[in-house]
Amino acid sequence: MKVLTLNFLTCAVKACKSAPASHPLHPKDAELVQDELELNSDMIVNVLPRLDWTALRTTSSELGFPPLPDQPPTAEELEADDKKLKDLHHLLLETSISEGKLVCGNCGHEYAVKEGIANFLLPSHLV
Amino acid sequence: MCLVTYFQHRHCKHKWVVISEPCGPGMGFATCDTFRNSNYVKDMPVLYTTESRPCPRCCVLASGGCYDLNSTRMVESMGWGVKWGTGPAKDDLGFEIKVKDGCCVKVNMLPTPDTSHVPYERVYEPAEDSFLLLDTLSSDTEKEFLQNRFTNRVPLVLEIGTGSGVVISFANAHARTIFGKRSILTAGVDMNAFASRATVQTARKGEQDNPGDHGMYLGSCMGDLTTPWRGWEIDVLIFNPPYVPTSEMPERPEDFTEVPTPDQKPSFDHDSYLLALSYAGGKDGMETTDRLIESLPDILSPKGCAYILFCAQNHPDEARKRIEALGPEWRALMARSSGKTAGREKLQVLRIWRELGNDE
Repeated sequence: MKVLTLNFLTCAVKACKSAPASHPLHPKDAELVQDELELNSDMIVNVLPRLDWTALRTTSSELGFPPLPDQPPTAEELEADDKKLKDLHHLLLETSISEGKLVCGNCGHEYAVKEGIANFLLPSHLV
Repeated sequence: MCLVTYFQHRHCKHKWVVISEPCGPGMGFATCDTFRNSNYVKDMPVLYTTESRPCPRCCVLASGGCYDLNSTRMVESMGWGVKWGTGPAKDDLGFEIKVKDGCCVKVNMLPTPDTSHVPYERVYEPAEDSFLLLDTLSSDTEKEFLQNRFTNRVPLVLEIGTGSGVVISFANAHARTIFGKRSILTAGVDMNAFASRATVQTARKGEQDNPGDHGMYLGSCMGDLTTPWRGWEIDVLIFNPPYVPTSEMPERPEDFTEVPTPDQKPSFDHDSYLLALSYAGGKDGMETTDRLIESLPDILSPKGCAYILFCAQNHPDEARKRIEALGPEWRALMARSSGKTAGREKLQVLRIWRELGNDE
């Protein structure tokens, strides 16, 4: 699963949904894979407004990427700065989590990731 | 009028057309008036790629059998029209069918993603219901709806219960045609580990086969409906639910492990459980669909919409009322249907969305 996905995911436990600590999930023992993909600058520029930037900064630093700025770059900044664009493309779309765990910051539940597929099925006592 | 479906075999590349919904008992190519009229004009056909269905020419005729000419015909050519053969012999005359707009069929057909790697003993095989969803997404009305709705947003398209992944991979592979742009994000959820793995591969093949047109497949995860997804993020939700009415919901075998290791041999019980999950819908076939409908206001983005498939036994008219009761802004419309039994559509896809007024 691509790193961008983490911005849209949260803990599957119902009671955690409203807790701010449940987002983003925290990668643990994560193995990353990189795929070289053709850059679609329109995608990067237009996806940023819908992202939770603070959560993305957390994910990025937890995965060992260089720190992201406090504020998301504007469309003009990205169009003028090819490197910024490529860095975000690399982090969001070229990098995937292949193995490891995703941990809820609220309840501590760990979701396993195997072969790039996270398992969010809950044991019966948590449903 | 009989409804037909076109198939092409992945390996031999032969094309054939079958009566998918006869307009009456015994009706078909030889008996239905529709096909006698040489001016019969048909909508641009979608050609489904298949591997599991035997090619009538290579498999049936070659092994000495014959196929029913009333329900199956080879397609001799698809160009400015479609020419169906009248019989097994290649020199049969056949007849021409004009295609609306007179456009070249080959250019406009959206190919179905390759699913030859999917283990069908454990994963639901694409069938009429999956094909109806493909028809829905590639229809002119839905393309227009989706393109107008998400002009200023990179839409997140999520399919629940991806199975082979044919539907979400189709949406992703043909992003430019369906959404008018490549900037779309797609993802899939399934309870079945084999289905999730298969879907990742189907999506990847779909991207490779459609360079320059595809969107971005984010990945697959395992989960119950949309539970791991944040609220109000999903822009297009696609669901081909377990809709067959059953006396009870499938029961999980005691020794079932969700993520079997590659060396673990799944038992017959496990395989049957996984397949049952894909079709068994409990009371009226609606137990799972109803849970999803209830959650729609919390999962769809303000401009979000959902495409959900229903069969006649699901009482889709009552489901529409329940959707419209979610609030005054909620709408549900039959986007596409296939075949009629006793005056009711056998399968139909509802498009569900919020009408936001003029400030959209």
